[in-house]
Amino acid sequence: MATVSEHLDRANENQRFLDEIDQARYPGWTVTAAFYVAVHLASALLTDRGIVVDSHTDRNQALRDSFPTIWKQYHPLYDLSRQARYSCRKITTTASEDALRRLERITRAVELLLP
Amino acid sequence: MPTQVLSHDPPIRIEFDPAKNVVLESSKQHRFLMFEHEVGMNSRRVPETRKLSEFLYAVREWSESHDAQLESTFVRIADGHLDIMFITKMTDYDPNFNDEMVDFDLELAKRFDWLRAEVMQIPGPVSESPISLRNSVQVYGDSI
Repeated sequence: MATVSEHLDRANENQRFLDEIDQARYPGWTVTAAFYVAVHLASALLTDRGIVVDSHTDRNQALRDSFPTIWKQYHPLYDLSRQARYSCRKITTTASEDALRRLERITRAVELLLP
Repeated sequence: MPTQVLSHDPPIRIEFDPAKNVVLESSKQHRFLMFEHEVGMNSRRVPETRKLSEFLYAVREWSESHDAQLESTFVRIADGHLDIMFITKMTDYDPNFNDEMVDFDLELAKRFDWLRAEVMQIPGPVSESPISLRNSVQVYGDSI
């Protein structure tokens, strides 16, 4: 099982990737990369609290139960990235810009909640 | 994964009686029974019919209260959970609608803690959407 520090390292790596891609040209990849930053931030927080998850469904449920405020920001990233990856839905810049704003809120919240 | 029963058929539109029970034409009852069976298998819990009806009715009620934004609503069996797909009348993703939808998601999680469900916002119309309606029932909106 990955440690808090390992999850944060992976979140930072994914954030660097997100910062490097052409977000206006690739809104689908933008929401997907943003989601994978959020996944590792959420996993760092859950690991710190001793909550073990091994699937998206379990992670979602743990966020609902323990961090509903973060879940409200995390959910659109999960939803949009899932639709971008699997349903071929066109992701607009309205959606990707909202995803980035929500990722910022998640990042700030996790920074405050982790020791 | 045992989810073949509805795969070749379009979604069935379900209705409710005043006691909030699912009511269907006899020709569709078998398919709904199979839907219930699949929900039980995929959630690894077998819900009582009454509980599932209450859940679907709650989704229907919420959809009706958002009729200005919603075209239709489908509930689909997914891998270990249910997808609640809200097809909107909007042409683009709506952050405000998303916030209301996630509030409803939290309410559902508390009220129906025996079932895992994920809400999704999908700009409509459903006829132009790339979503799969395999293994789904329609709980709100005109029949497709």
